[in-house]
Amino acid sequence: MGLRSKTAFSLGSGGEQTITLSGANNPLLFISSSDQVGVIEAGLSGSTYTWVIRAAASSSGNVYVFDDPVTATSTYGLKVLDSSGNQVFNSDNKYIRVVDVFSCSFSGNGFNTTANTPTITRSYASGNYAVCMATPRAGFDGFNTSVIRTDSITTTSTSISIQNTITKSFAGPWSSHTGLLITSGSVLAMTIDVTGY
Amino acid sequence: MPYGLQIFDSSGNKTLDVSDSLTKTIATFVTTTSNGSATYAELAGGRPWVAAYRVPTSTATQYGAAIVTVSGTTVSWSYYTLPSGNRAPMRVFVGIY
Repeated sequence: MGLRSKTAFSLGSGGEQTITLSGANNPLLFISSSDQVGVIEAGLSGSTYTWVIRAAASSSGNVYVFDDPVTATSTYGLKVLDSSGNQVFNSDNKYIRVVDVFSCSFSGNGFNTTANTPTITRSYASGNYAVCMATPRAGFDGFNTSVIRTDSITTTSTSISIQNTITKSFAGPWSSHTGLLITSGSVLAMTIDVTGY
Repeated sequence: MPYGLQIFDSSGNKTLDVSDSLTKTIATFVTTTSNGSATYAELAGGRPWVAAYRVPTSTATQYGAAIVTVSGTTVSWSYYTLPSGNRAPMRVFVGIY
């Protein structure tokens, strides 16, 4: 997958920002954040994807959205084709560079609190990192409340952490939410290197 | 780096090193609201990665997401005890890195 958009943000605690990507096929969103930012809503109209990110603390950073790689447009660079003539690599793209894939557990039948949705911290060599939650650990903030709790991402030059610290009173409709996990289990997360992106 | 291949953009930023782990997308699909599984032989060609998101156009009552897992070459999704009317279809990404 290739980088399609990079959007800077600077948010106060509880602040939100909308990210859009038109003409998208299969986008994945990664967040690089100084303190606790995550996706609270996601939408789709035609081929235009919309995400709302929310901060649990004052934070700045970037949102990176990757999608199917572009085909060659430059008259220089490196392009690799397979035996059928399909492009498999094109240096016009900034590809996902995987640093780490790991599991994030949760429990509580959708009634998530920070007590049953643990914080995950991973340490790396010095670099610039962004994280994608394969499925956000979202649930009600307590039994049958109207508050949603979901994951936030914090990145530093040597680590990332995922905390279940984003909360928002929810008045509906459910059609814009990322989906609640009504069970126990684990989901994956991916850390990528965005140095120079 | 005494040997290998590195690629830089016009600003001098390194955008690729042959030691980087890149992703390969094997499939994307939308689940039904029943539990299920799918097999992809290509998953044996690397380390698996799956991501799954509630389809953004799900109806207002379809609030529950499935848990999607991968074991070997099989991707499975389950809604566990969610009532059928509250299960949202999921857009699933399957790949290796």
